[in-house]
Amino acid sequence: MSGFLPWWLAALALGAITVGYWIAVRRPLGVSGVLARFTRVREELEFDRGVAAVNRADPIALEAELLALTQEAFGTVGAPLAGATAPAAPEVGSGAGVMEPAVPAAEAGRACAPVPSLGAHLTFLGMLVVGGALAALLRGTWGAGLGEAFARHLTPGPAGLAALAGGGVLVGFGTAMCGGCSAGHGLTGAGRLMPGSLVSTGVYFAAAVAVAVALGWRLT
Amino acid sequence: MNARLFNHLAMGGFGLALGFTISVAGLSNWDEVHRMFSLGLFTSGSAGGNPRLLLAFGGAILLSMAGFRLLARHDQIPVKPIRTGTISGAILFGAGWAITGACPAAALVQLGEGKLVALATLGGILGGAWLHEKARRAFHWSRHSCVD
Amino acid sequence: MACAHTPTCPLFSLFTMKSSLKVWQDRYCMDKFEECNRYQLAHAGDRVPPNMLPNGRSLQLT
Repeated sequence: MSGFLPWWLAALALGAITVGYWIAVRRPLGVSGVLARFTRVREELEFDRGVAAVNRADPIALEAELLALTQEAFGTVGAPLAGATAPAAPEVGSGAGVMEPAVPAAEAGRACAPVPSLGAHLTFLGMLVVGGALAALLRGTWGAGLGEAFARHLTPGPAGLAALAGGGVLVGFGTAMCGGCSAGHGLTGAGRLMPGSLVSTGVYFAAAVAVAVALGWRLT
Repeated sequence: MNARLFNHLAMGGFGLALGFTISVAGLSNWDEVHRMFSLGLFTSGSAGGNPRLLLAFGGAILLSMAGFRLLARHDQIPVKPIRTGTISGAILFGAGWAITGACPAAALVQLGEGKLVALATLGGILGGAWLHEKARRAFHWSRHSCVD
Repeated sequence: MACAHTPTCPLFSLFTMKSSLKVWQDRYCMDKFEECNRYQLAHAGDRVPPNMLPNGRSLQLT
């Protein structure tokens, strides 16, 4: 069995994974940013420690310290500023009145979860690899080459490897520069109609088409 | 179940699902990706043009839009504004994707599939990300991090 | 308009926990977010220490 999924089934699976990931983990699905973290492990571990310290802090002590710093900064604790704008959460479905405390995040739609630990991200990336292995083993295609056209014209010799490495540098640099990849911008960002993602997706797709057509012209 | 275990299980589970889907959809196959970027119009070697993956990717984006609108309309997903590196970065990424046939996720999937040449691709991707961070600090570009 | 980082800023969610902390959101997140130290660091391209407050003071978290 070496055929691929029909287009609608692939679309369904990718869409479900993208939205499901947000609902389950409350993080936007994306790979390039996660991968890039592993090019600066020490800095990322330190950042993780900081996030964990904030999350793990004793709530009472944390609250006391926050109130003390609030007092120091504003000279007041509890009284809203004159001309204060709308409640914290952007969209309020609960009808919270002026006299009530700040709207809990849960009532105004789910908030994003804090940055997962480097370990959790490693698990994510590792399972991407395992997923590929599972699929290849089930279909009996493990170890196959990159593809027929690639094998013919950009062989696994030095030229082919150089092309892959060079292309990889473009991918790594480009995704870091535009802030996302096919999943981060294409599936999640465009899925949420984010301007940066819509532009990125359109541009990277156009660039890819241009290069592919140029390569294709050379291939035939 | 504590939060940390849940995180590992959930992210691991979705990673597995995504990796498997990318593989069986053909997103880790150079030929299939080339067909997608040829818009199903141009022939590639002996294989004919076929818009299957193009429809799959486009369909996935549309379904994602619908899913977010139906199930997560009020949720606060991190914004992605247009910034200085958005367009130039996207051009580089698109070019690289067409050459390697792999986006970052697909490169990892290829490794799992036993395509060891993907190590060259992955090495390049990691090198490129590292290079960008160096350049960003040297030229004072802004962060585009999708992670924090 | 509000600061674009509110979905991921750990302090923004901390401020949501208690009404007495809402002043931070009113003053920075929802209004003058350009004056927020965290925003400035992020915009300049630096990593934001998770325990830094908008006015530059740091939570000690002993």
